[in-house]
Amino acid sequence: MKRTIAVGFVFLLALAAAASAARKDDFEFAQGLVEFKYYDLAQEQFEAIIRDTSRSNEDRANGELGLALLKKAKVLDIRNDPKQNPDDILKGFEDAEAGFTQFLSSYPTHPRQTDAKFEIGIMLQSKGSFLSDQKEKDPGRAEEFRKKAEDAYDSATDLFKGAADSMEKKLEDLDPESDRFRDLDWDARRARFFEAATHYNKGQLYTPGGAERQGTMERAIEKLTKFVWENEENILGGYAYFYLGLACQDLEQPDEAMEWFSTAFGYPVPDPKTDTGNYLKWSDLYLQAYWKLFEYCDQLGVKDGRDFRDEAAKKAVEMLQRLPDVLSRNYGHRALLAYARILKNMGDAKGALERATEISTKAESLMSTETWAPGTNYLANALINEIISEHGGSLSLPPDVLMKAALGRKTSREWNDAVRSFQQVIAAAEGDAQLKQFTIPSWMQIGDCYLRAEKYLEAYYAFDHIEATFRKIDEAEAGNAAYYRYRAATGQFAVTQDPWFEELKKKARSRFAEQYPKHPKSIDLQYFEGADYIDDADTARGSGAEKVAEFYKLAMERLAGVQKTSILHEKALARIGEVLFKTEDYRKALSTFDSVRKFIDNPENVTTDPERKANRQQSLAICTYYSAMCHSRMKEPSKVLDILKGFEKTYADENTRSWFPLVALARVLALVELKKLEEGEQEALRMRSEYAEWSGTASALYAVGNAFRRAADEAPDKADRGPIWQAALKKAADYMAEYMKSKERVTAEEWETIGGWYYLLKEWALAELALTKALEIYNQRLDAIAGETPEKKEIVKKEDGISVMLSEIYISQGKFADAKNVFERLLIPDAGARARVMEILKMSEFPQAVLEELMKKIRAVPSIMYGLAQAYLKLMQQEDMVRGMTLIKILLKVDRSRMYTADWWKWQLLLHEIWLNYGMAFRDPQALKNVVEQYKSFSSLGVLKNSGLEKEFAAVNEKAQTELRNLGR
Amino acid sequence: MKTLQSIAIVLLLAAVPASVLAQDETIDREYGDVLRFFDDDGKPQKMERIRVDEATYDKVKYTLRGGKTAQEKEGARVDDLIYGDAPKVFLDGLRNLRNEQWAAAISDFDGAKNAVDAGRARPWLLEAAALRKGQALLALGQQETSRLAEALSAFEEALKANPKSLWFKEIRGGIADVCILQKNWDGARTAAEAIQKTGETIKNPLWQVRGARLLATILMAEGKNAEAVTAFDNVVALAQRELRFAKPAKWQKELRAAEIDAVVEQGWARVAWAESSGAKQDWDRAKDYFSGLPAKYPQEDQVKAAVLNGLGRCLLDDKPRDALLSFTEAEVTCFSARREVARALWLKSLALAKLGGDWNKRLAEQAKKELRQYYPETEWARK
Repeated sequence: MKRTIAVGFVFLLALAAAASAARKDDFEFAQGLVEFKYYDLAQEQFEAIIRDTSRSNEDRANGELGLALLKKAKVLDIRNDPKQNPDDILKGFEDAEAGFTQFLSSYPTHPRQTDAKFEIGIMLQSKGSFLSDQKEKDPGRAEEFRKKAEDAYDSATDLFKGAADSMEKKLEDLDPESDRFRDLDWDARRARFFEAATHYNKGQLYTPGGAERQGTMERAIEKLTKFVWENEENILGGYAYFYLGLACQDLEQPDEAMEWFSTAFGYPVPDPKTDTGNYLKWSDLYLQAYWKLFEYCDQLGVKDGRDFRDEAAKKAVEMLQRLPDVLSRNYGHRALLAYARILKNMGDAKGALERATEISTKAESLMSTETWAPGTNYLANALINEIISEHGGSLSLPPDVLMKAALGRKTSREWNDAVRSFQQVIAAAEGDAQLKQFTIPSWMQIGDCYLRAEKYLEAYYAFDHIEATFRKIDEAEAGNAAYYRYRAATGQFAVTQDPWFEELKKKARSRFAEQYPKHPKSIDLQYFEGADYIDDADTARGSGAEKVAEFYKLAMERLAGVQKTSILHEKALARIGEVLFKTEDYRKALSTFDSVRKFIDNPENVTTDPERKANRQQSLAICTYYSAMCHSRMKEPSKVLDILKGFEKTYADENTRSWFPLVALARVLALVELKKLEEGEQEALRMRSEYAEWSGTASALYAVGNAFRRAADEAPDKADRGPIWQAALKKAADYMAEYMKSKERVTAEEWETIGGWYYLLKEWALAELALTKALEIYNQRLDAIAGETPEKKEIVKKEDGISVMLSEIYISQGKFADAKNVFERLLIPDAGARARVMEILKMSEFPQAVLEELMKKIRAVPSIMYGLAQAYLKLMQQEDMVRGMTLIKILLKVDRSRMYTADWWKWQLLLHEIWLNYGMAFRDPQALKNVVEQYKSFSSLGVLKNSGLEKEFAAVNEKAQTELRNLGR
Repeated sequence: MKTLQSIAIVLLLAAVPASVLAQDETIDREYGDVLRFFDDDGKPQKMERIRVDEATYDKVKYTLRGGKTAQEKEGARVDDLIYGDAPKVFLDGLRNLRNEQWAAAISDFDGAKNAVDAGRARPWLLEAAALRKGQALLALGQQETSRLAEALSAFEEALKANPKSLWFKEIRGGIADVCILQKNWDGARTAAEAIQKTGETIKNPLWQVRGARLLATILMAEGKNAEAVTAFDNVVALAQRELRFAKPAKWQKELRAAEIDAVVEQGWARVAWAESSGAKQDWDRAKDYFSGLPAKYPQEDQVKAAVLNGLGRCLLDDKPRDALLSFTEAEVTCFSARREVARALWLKSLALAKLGGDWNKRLAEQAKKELRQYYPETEWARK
């Protein structure tokens, strides 16, 4: 619908231009530049008009109008481009509108005022239509877009009404026979027509069947009906009937709609030979009306005893008689397609197929000259496919028709269906004559479909079959097939990394190179070999820098050998840049990427080859990504973000989409480097949602986690462990934890780090889990180390720290039994030896030999022994408490240089506490005496005051003494 | 156990006489029938503007428009019989059958039967409608086994309407297919033997071969692989023998197709034998069998596909990559051999699963999806 209105308006504007006298001046010339999309030149021209002081004010005002027209043209150009940001397009409309409004208010008496009003009105129509489309595409902003569209339409209506009112008033003062009257009268009628028709467009905004839509459509009918009464004889009246038909259709009034459409195309047909101009104008109207009538009738089918399809079919026959050039006209094609569909739905598959084939063939012949031809061809082929799907069994179809259907499927990217359709073509082709025309091309298409569907092995066999079967018939195509067989084998190896397929790839390459040495594509082998060497280099990282360097050198040599004539030339250059990046020559890499862009932008290097175009797009994606990476390495994160802005929109093609995750990761790293943590986090979360399976996503999460860790370190309230510090550390921990989930093997250090964070955050459960895992892995490493080495000492130190945290966690949570289990396992890793060790530990005294045996079986890590003794103390089991005493005594058996250290005092205190509690619980005076005597000894030596635990020792001593007294000792 | 019932429905549908579907024949209600038959030299002939009074596999009795006496043609010579008064509901049913709209077809054929009951159509419609209804129910029964009993009833009704029907082969064939699906081997065997014997009696080699083929299928379905191998061999011999004497070109083409089909299925019987025994010598025999086929049948796509699939199957357990290549080549280059392509897709999914890895797993799922989408009638699509 919306296209109809847009085209109709453009057509009627052309009528306006024809009505005015032809004026050949700079303004007209600049308008022509706009029409041919030479926007920069047009801008220069309009600005020159404005600056030219020798011109009259009126003339210079044309320049202002021209700039507004230019803005309008630009926005209409990008309006349907899916790569454009809708908000940018909306801004474009607003800028253009502002330009026109400025012109209208600055030059209220300018002769082009009316033109300007029409331009704004039509542009507002287009804006309304754009917003209406956006409403469907972005449901989250539907209400916003609907409101803006409404405003646009209302403004358009007001403009047209205002223009019509003003012009009609002026007509009162003019001589009806004068040219001026005629011109103004026509403009006034146009304005009225647009005013009326805009109501119809606005109505389309609302929900079908709803009150708002109904009301708006009724208003449109009222206005259009009134318009028709005064304009029945002119083409505007014809269009008004057409819109009446559309409006009645919308209100589900089939009889009225049929009548109005029929009236629209019921006017006489001007002679196409003697009155070509009018014939084209009027027949355009007729064809649109036929088209819409056919579509509507097909939709209605048989209703209330009336066979609408049958009626439409009769009118189609009439149309073909009245308008002989239907097949060459855009709307003619649409009408014929609608007619073909009616035939199909009436069961005349054969007739429908004939029509659809006819349309497709004609559209194919007009592909290079008519902009509507590709779309029409696509629709016709889609209809052919429908007919074949529904009726294929009963139709004996020739290969040319089947070929159209197959190509239609391929255009729709239905690869599997396309393969089967091409197979049908092959089956239908007969004789040698049709081999070259249908069989071989169909096989090539099959191979191509398989490649696009990433079914490389299937593609390999398709191309292999062509090469083997048809070489004698078509050597050139067999060569192509051999080349693509190699490409398929390359693809198969790339996705499987199976060495077996690498051999297949190499064989395919050799066969192509040997059997078709003069084939144009043999020069492309250089590129693929270069690309292979890059892969080899990437894989060889870790095997030695020399090997990597050698591979990169070979890659450069191959890629540099790719000729300018090769379709892979730019891609080869881009990959040279990639190698330079990987060999850390960033400046040279950036310069190479620049030269790629310059080469592509150079008008002398324009190409029409679709494959080369696609390769160029990929090249630019490579250049963009690696340029950003160069800047990343050069510590210029802002530039990284600038370069990658809008990457996904610019390179939305299927061949370049694979870069998206890498780009997203680069962004995360840049944002993190710029300390834009929130944005970095958002991007990382987007990666988590869109690229969950990609390994790089974990790296992004790691980077974000690390960034939050730094933020925590730098938090102003870090010392107090305040809320800012906590929030940052929590995020660091959570993102790290997520990163770790993705890893196959998490290191002890990583567990320790994250366990430490959760410990600081007092998230005990998570801390316990992480720290326990860290300990387990450290223990495994310890077991693998023989003798006393610095590494061993380091690990023991780490374990100490972890054990301290763990014991605090357990004890703070009162999980003494858990603490005991964990520490016993840590102390005696060998489960088989555990029972024996437990027995030994129960002995309060044992000979040296037993001690030596014990020390061989336990992991004598002080923090573990201490933690276990603490647990034993808390659990208050008699035997365990004895074990605790033993453990501490072993700890305390150190040489003199280690006596009286902080740790030593800590152990002593624990021993005293165990003695005390043991003595109290089990009424053992000896244990209590141990406390008292030891305290006395320390006091006499005067060493307690340096322990830092004087009060604690004193308290334990006092309790012991009290208890002894109670026991009568 | 592999069942071959899916091929049966394809054959049955293929047997729907195309000319009954013609809508542009001028319908003369009284003398609108058309008889196509083969003359003594095997050349196709046509008798139009006739009224068929009786049609059995023994003979077709008809009267010419304007003629006074009835004439006859041998039933075995009849290629096709078009009744000029086929009601719209019956023709709609045939269209729905062709478009695999089973439920709609069943309803149409019931409607056709009602037309006979109401005296608005000739009795021939009873057997025709019952046969086609049976075919639609059989197709449905592949998915909903509860419909098989109805299918059987329909076929039996067709037989009852005309025990010596011209479509005796299709009717009995349908019964055999239902019995196979129901694992009623005896019932299936009875039907198959009836086709073969009747074929011998009326000297129609296509019927003989069909009956023999069914018998081999039954053995295979029963898991009697060794006997199935022999039975398929017998079908090959029978088809080759009859081919020497068959005059009509159409018969020659069909006998040749039956021979190729039996050659291929014998290979699969050997594979089934090897699978059940697990013995290396059985695998070797299967491999040798397939290896020997290209020399005997160099131009046949179905054989080429079967050889690739068969040899691939022999490699599948130990060399899944080589097997994968074989299956892929069969799928891509022998696309006209529909059944073998479906088998190739299934075997390909097994090979990919064996090779493992995310990529191969994805491709295996794709292969199964394609099976279901493009070859839904096959047993592999239902796995």
